[in-house]
Amino acid sequence: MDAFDNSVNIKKDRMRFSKNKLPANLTLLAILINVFYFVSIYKSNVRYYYTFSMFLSVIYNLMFMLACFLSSEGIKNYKPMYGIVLIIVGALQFLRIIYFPVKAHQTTVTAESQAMVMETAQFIRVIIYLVSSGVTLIAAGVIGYVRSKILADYRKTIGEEQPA
Amino acid sequence: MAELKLQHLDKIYDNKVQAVYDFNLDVKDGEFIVLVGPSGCGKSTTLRMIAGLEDITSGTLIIDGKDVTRMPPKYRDEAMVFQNYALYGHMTVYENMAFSLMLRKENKNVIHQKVMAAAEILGLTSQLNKKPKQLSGGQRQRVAMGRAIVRNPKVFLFDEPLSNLDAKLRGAMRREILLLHKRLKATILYVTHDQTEALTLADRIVCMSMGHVQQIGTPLELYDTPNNLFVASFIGLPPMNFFDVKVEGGALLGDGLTVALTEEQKNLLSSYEGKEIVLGVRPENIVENGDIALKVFNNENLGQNTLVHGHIGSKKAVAKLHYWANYKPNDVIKVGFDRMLFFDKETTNVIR
Repeated sequence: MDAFDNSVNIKKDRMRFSKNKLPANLTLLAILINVFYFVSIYKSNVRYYYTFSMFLSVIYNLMFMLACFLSSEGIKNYKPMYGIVLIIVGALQFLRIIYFPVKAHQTTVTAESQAMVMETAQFIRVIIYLVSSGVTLIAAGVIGYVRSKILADYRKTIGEEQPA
Repeated sequence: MAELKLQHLDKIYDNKVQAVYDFNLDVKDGEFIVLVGPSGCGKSTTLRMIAGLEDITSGTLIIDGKDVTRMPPKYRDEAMVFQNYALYGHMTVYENMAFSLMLRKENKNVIHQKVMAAAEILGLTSQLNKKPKQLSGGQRQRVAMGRAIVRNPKVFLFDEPLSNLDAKLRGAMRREILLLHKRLKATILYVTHDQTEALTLADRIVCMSMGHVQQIGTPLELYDTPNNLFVASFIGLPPMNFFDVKVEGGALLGDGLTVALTEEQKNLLSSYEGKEIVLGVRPENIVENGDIALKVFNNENLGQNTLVHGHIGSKKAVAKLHYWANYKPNDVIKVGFDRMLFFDKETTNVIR
């Protein structure tokens, strides 16, 4: 039991000098998956369907990438707040399924020739991208938050100040 | 820790320049050896041959009874500390120190314990999260040493590690290296051109010139009984004064000086009667008690010592007086020599 305790403490102590790389890398992975989503979503034979919603979508994607990148850096340095941000952004990825892909998939345009805005294959693909980036972000957020709290508690026990 | 045997090591580069000639040395377990000599004397080349960074042209290198002459560096179990620190700028101090162990895929908890122990020894615990650029020169050099310590190698190799530091820091680091050696009881080979480092750190000094070993001995042996003119001139600060003199009728006759010999010295120089030899006198062995005229040129006050630069006859000489002297240019001091060394003019070897 002593050896186990010792090993646990060493592991905690090690965190003082190493970056929280796993959640940070998971976040970067989520950004990459979102890029795939971003590229896939507008690939359509029907050109005029996406108008104002495209503008909103582009803005959101930019903000998403910025927030994720900053959170990745924050969580790398064991800042628990960024863990919460990642969980929220991850949850929003699930909500995005309803707003764009589902709507596009259910719409058929007849102006030029009868065609679905989003074919089923494309729909499934973008759903996979959104779900996987959402899951990745939530996992990153949870892992990052838990680790940050563990380190903060350990720092308190050894009387070390929390870095700014 | 380990014993080293360097047997007949030669280094000849591709352009046929020979950097090291027949280098022989036995290093005992836990010994601190300093290789000293002027630039280009082959000391760093010798160290790099031991490290495996230079091929050994001929000869044998044995570490702990094992011939490692042709063995790649990573299998020799040595750690080298360089003059320019060679730290990874993008890594923290902790990562720099842990890096070699991570490459060996050691257990992360074990790595952590080793790094923390080394950091404690070197006083780097509070700097572990910093990058090298945030550290002073002395701290960077300590990180470089820490990187060597964590590997727990058989032999530590230091290649002029303090040359980039200012004089004050060099003194402090010298003491730290000495403490480190006592604490780790490590076998250390240390290269420097600074004789102060050599004299203060070494158990034994290897004095080199032009690729040849001039003398191997304790610091006191090299200071007190140098083998030849080179060692006598290289060891000691300020360097030894040399005078061309002739042995004649129980005395030494030179330009501006006449020195009566004792019976012992007469016997020593009996075979040189009527011949010219070189008389060597250390500045600290020139005393204000005698009949040799030293014409003062300059007076350097160093606090508790004064270096009096001047001429004896036409030859430049320096006297180290142990008080605050205030001589003016062209003052003449009557001095004597309380200890002398004699050198054969042809072979440059000391006459014993």
